[in-house]
Amino acid sequence: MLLEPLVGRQEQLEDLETLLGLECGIPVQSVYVYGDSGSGKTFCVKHALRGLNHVWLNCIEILMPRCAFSSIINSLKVSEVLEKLEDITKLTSCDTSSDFIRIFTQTLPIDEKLFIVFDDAHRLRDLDLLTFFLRLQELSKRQVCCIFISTVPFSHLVSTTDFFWPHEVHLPNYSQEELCGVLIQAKAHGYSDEFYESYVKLVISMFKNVTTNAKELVHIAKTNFEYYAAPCKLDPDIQSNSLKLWKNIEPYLKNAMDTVYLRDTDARCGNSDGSKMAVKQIIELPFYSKFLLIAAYLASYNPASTDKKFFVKRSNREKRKSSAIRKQKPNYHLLGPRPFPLNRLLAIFHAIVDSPVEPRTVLSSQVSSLVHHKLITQAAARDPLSEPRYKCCVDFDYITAIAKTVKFPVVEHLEDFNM
Amino acid sequence: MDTPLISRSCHVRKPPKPKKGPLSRYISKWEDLESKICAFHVRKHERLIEDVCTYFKNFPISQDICTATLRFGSSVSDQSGIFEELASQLTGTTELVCRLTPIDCHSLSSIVQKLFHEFVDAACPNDAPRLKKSLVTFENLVQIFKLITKNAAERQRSPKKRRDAKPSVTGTKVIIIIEDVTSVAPTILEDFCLILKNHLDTMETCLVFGMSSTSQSVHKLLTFKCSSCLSIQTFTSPPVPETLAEIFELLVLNRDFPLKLSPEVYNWLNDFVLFHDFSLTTLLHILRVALTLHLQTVDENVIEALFQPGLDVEVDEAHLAHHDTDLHLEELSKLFIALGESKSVNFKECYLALQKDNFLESVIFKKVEQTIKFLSTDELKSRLMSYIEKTKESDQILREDLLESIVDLIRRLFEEDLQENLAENEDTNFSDVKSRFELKSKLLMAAQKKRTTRLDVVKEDLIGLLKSDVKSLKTPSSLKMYNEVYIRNAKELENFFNPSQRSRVHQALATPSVYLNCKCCQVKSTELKAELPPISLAYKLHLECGKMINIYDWLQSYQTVREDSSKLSIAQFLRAVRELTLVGFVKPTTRKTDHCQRLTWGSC
Repeated sequence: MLLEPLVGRQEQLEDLETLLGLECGIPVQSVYVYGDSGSGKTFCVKHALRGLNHVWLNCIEILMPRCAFSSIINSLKVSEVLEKLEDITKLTSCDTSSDFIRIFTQTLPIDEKLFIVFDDAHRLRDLDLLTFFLRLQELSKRQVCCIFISTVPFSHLVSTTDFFWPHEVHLPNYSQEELCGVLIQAKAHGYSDEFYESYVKLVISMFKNVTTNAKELVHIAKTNFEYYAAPCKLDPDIQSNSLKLWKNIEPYLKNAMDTVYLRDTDARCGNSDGSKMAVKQIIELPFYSKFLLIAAYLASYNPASTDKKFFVKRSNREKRKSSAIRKQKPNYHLLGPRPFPLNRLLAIFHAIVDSPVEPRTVLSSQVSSLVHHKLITQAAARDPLSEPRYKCCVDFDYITAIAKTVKFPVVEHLEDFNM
Repeated sequence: MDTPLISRSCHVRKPPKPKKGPLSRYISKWEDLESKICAFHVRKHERLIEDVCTYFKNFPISQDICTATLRFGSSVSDQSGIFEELASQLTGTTELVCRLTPIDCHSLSSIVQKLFHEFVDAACPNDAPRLKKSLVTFENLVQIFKLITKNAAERQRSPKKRRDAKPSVTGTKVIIIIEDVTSVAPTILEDFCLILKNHLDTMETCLVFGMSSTSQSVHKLLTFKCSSCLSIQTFTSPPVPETLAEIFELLVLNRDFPLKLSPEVYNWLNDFVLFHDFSLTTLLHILRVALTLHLQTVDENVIEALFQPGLDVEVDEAHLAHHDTDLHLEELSKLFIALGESKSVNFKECYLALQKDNFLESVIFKKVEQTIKFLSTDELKSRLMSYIEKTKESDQILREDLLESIVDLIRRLFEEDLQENLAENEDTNFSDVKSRFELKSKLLMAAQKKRTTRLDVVKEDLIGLLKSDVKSLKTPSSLKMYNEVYIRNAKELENFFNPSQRSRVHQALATPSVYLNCKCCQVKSTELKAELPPISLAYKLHLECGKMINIYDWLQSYQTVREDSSKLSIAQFLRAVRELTLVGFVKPTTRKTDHCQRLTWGSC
């Protein structure tokens, strides 16, 4: 993978190589590489450091400063695989930065270069290690260079001005042509370059507004190519017929649009059969919990003023509102769920359940279990004694599916459908 | 000498194990029952476990972490048996299977620690060295993993030891089971996944997520960066109501356990589980309490005799009688199911209905009777035959007389000319008709008169047989020792597990005489009286108020009812308000001065 040529990153790579003093001389103290995720930061740095003596650290793993110190020292000392389990006890552990400097200077010969890479470097800020590693060369008096990779600019990490400022290398987002070049590198065998290029252009034009993450686009292009190329196996002439190819691939790409960043194998199997998916996603709930959820949905999408209309037994005196008022009403589904107090939820619940239900403790505990399942959320985290407020989080399709299982006509009770 | 710490003086004492007395027998019987139910529950999920195993086996090596999400309908806490089974099944594919309970997942370092210990145990199963805590890092974890794979490869390479060993698995995998994903903090879960992803080249990892919510909720928890490295496949457990219904069947037909559930308890339990709580843990807990309550009410000697046959002749006889009735019930309900429509009649309902006295008037019997009348010859034949076959398949034939009479009926179905009209002999000559009116009435009668075929006679006989058999059945309540054998505390259980506290508190405050047993405060629930206790009076007054209650107004009305404006009454009133605050009816508020907020409305 490292041998592949870099597309659209030559300039930045040259910068990086100069800073690291690869051609001649001593590397700079520290380099800060940043850019959006999927813009090739890690790939660039790996490319620059190939064949060189380097230590790669991922900052998510560094829970405490001593983890960073120990792993740098140990990766200098220890060979690839341990011989016995007892060997692990021989690994050095340094607890403080002064210990680290002492052991580090002892281990690293003075004429040897070393590069230390910190991936996800913004995490170092919380550990107070950033200042230390930025000036490691100065402190240890060795030819060592720290490379930081992060998604945020360096200025976001520091608060004071008297900080040692590293050399920054910014990787801008790929342009469309560059993306195209990157994607073509992952070409499948057995097809002509033009055929694959037209496919890649199609994918990029469709997804450019959704994501520019190269890794993600490569994944999308890879997984959907077999569908794209499928008709060519039956009929080789179709390769030149772009319209037919587009007609064939369109539903697959649209489906992929919904699952960008998700590697859900279910979703991929589901394809165009949407209804089947919905059934799979619905949780089984006890009978009363289902009604509570329906009540929560109604409370969230109906204004409280309409409760009387839907849930009180109709009296003959009810007046019909004039059409002029009706027109002004907004679509409550477009406004999104609104919070409602617990009392209203329970009142609606008692109104929609057929048989009278005694207000029991188990019933109110079901509300919190719905919150646990993330079907409703507590809107305001206030004192639980005074009117807790909730919001319903499920969508219309979900609630109709739930309502179907208990044979409750949910549409008849929604203001948006009964103007 | 160290100075003794206070914490050291706190001891946890394990209760001594009961010696071989009656108690140990109850316990062992109960444990049998419990393990039976749990084992059944696990068995129900066999398919799921197999699917997960094959998914992991077939998953190609890729850039993503292979993740299986197990979606359970009920709460995850029930599923520990299933995870255990899954873990043991997965150890067939790989050596390293780690289970992370919610307690292990409260921080990243605790997760690493747990994994580290598991890995060290796997690396040297016999004498794991004690390792310093500072060594517990992800880096070292990967090192140990490499060591394990190297050892495994060496073991397979040495042909002397394992000549017949199977061809090696492509590579050692680590399978990490996180039992309840939703209880893990999202940041921790995300960091953990990202770390695993970083080490995926050297350490192939698979994840199992257990949860009781949709797979969407996992996506809601994680950011794009993390969700794009998890290749998730969801596996769903079988529907909960179905599983529970089968568990109930298991409970009803459980003959090893000397005590039985009465239909009332049974129906209540069923409703409770379906309406409120799917959890198996709760179900077991309720059963345990029901049993304990029952044991308290029954004479010790009888219980002991029940649990240990041979002690008391009378008890044994009663037990035998109950046993016979059970068999009779089971046989009859099987017959009814075979005859009735599969959708309308189910075994459990039928069995429970038969336990009651008036089964012949029940809906189930009427349904079955109706079905029999509509059935064609072939259909009736096939249903009866299938019943006979099923009975013969089972080990013992329980009721031979019933079986014989049914066989006889089937024979008649085969032999006779079924469509022959038996009513033919009644002459229908209209020769002696004298008037038009008479002719009309005769024709009408002829039309109304049913055509009675031999099939109808057979059907009548079958229904007659069923009726007589039901009548011959001794209902459990008519037998001796009914109160001892059947657990009948549905009311108490309701109070324990589904209490209506609000209505109780309301009742106590509105009609205190029920609790206080005094004559002076005997009032209707809406009446006010000076003699009522202060808290009761304050409560009744607050029911008339709106959302905000002015304390002064409240006090004024209190004093008016009391006809007392002394300082003592103010003190009593303030104390009552404080007590109401404690119970949760009102609470002080800062929104309005000198007001307090009312918290309850109707049933809410």
